[in-house]
Amino acid sequence: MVTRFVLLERLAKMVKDELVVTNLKGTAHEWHYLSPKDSNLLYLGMGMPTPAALGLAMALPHRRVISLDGDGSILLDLAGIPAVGQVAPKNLTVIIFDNQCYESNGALPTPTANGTDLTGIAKASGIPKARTVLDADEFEDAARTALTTDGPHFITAKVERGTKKVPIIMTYGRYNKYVFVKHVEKTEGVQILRSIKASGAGYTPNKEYFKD
Amino acid sequence: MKEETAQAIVEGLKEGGVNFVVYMPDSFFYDVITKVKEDPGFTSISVPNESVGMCLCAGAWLGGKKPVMIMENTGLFVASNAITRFHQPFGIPVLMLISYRGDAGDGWWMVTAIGHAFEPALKSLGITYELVDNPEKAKKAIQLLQTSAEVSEELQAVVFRKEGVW
Repeated sequence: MVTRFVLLERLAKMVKDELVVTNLKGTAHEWHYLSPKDSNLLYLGMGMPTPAALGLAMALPHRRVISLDGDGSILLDLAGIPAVGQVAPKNLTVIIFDNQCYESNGALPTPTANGTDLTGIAKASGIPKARTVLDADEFEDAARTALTTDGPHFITAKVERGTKKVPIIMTYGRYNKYVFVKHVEKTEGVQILRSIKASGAGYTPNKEYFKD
Repeated sequence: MKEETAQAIVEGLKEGGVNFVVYMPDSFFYDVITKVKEDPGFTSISVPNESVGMCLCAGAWLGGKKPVMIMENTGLFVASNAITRFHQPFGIPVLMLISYRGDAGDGWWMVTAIGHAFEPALKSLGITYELVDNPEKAKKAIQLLQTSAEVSEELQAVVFRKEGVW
């Protein structure tokens, strides 16, 4: 098997203006190290990256969205998978790095270590373009297909345990959100953040922040 | 639900600028959901649980939509993980419309415990909320709390009481 870091290296070379939502801990740190972009929303809690990415994909149907999720995370709330299948957004790619354990807190096994088939669950949930990959070349092929053809795509990437020792940049959620939202505002030509002045609710505390 | 309540809710959503409706099917909101599904001014989606729904709302807001989550109050407990690990630490505004099961006058044994726990849970989760018991108040509350959610970048909830609007 291959490490998640090697697969993320391959993915980072392919990603351009896609919006990327990541799981927390190792996946977030490695991805931020390899692809430090304003289009990353990092460090979402277990069960949250894929449904959040689905919401983004629905809001911006012309923009590709990638969820970098994990087996422990998606297993916490499998309901996110049929939600994706129900909407079937063409612009969404879900990548599950399946190390078959809860690595960040001691590596006790997840149910995938005992045969739970996430790709099978995805297919049975209305996502026919679901596949399991076992090495870097297979992953690169699956990712390239996902980023160049209509989805939704669901890739279960079987990976070894282990997180690359990269500089840990502990982003703060609100800061990450502002950077991400300002990027979306700029690239999509929309206003998301709403000034207090615009709301008529009183005063504008920081005019410099809202001016662009 | 009273027809005038359903109509007031839909009008409140429209006037508040809401354009993305996520719902966990709920008997109280059935008429609202039906109206929303038929209205091309809304993107709407049913979700398997309220945690997925709240995350979906968050993603939609990050992409420029104005989302609302419609659910029964039981769902607040299902969504509390996402609320405390995503919406609050990132500051994601979502308006929630919540039916108050276990409210005074409900009385079904299955929901009395939810009734006891619901408002303390809203408070402990830091969710500003408004109790409404008539259609006109519902419309105003939706507009007001939608605006204040956006400006404060926090969660706000309009809670529908048993009496007056059911």
